[in-house]
Amino acid sequence: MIRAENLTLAYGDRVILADLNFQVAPGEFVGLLGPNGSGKSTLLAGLAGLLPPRSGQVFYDGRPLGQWRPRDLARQVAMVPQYNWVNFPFTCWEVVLMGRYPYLRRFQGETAEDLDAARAAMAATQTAALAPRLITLVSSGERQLVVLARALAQATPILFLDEATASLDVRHELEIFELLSRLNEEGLTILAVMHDLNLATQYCRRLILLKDGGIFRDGETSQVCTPEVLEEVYGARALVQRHPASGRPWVHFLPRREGEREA
Amino acid sequence: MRKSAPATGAVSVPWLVRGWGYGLLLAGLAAVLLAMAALAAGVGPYKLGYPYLLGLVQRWLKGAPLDPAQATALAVFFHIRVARILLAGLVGMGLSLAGCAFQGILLNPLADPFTLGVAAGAAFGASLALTLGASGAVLGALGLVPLAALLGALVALALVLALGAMTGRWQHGTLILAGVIVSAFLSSLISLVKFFYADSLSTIVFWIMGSFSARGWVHLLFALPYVAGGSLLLLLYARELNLLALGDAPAQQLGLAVGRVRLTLLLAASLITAGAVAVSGIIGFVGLIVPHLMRLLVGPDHRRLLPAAALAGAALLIAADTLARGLLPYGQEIPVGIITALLGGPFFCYILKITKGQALL
Repeated sequence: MIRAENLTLAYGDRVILADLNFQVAPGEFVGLLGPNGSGKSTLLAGLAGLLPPRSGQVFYDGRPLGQWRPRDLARQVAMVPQYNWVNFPFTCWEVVLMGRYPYLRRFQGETAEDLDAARAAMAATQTAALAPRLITLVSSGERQLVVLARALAQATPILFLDEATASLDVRHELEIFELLSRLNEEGLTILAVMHDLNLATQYCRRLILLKDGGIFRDGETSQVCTPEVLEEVYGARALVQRHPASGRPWVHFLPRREGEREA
Repeated sequence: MRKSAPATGAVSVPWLVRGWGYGLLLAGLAAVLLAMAALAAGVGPYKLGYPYLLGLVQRWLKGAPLDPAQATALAVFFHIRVARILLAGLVGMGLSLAGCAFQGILLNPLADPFTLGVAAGAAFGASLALTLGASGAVLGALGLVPLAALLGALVALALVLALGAMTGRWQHGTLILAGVIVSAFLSSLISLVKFFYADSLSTIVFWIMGSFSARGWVHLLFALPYVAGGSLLLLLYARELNLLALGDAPAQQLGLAVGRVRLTLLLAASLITAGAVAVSGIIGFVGLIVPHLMRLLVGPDHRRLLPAAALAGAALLIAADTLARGLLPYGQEIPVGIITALLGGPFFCYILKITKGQALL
């Protein structure tokens, strides 16, 4: 259970998000959407403890974020960041194995359990073949999959994704979301920053739309996904239909008509 | 022992040492280190053959009486050469380990032990001491210079950390910039000292070049706590260094207390550097080139990298110091810092060529 209470996040004097209140229950699959600069990544950073809040608090299981030891928090929350460039030529296997760090004591080598977790994570993300290759020499899409494998090896009940499939081709993107969907059904709580609205409507059961430093809408996907709401958030004309296969909302954005620009 | 990866596909770096090779590499480096030390023991202006030395040490161990010539020879061997070899090994090990740590923490292949202004601080402290008459012994046979150098290094480090803390939690870029600024400022102060006290110009210049000339046991004991303590800490934190090398956000998100661990490791690496520089002056290149070479051989995992770099650094600096002592006739010495840079530069170019640039990560 994640709860944000009057959460205000800022970089220096620039407030990005002000006074947010929401919670995410265990087992939810939440999409975090909004136009560029609306604070999606900032919110994830704040929830993950990477950016200390200006004011307000984040709670995990009722305990304030500041009271979690980093190691304990890393057993609760894993994160796949938007940028995951690695400076040093570790092998992909070594990178995934680092996901087991929160479970290791000093002087303790990785146990068979750790190795199994890392192998299973690589198998699930179809990165097993990348294991001996250097993380600095794989493509950005492959790197994204390896970092996702590391997050899965962390074996946490909560997973944060920041446009985690942005560099992936269509097949990989869908396979990853099918995997996430399966893991979600098994109980994994997922909070995902997404750019592709239609991917979000297909997989997320709840959407949080950010705009102008706050939450503009928060609710069940089909309720949030209306032409009126989307037009106001993205400033583009939206057409919402039913997806012919899944029956979920399917969004097209259209250029504004003549005379509408100043509206 | 390396954990076996689910092995499929080709290894993309053919020269990387894997599996049993790592143990062999360590054993090989240790053998080279011992061979270098043995070789160095027989080189110097005071000619002592190996059989003669061996006989002397045997007699001494048995407690047999020595004539004056033999006693002098033994003293030269024990108080000058052995101490100097050990000191060169200690400094070489320390600078290499510190270099690995700085490159990993600062996420920068160009970082070396002197990036954070420790060298400039030590040089400034030493030049003040040299100018103000350093001949007086302060602690036993130890001059004022190592003390002043250590103090200067610590003050410079404190300045850099204070500057680096202004953007919060010692970000890499800020730290490097702070190091460059403090180094530049201290360098101009050193120039000022040289300008006003032209008499001590040459001693300052020679000190800054780095040398093990006229260093003995007392210098070894002076540097030992900093270098050994810092090195031990780095070796214990090898896994944390790996996480830091991924970057701040991933490291913290994987459960590392980034701010605290980074400060600890920065202090450890800086103390090693300060201790080494205080007794030997500024010996460049070892702390830059050894980490790169070893990372090329064993990969960036610091649990494997640090032991290899420690052995290689010690062997390299003992070898360089032996050259420094042996190249010129009549007991003249070339400052060892010149040797390391003279040999290191072209050698690194060669490595860059055969690895097609991958030596730069």
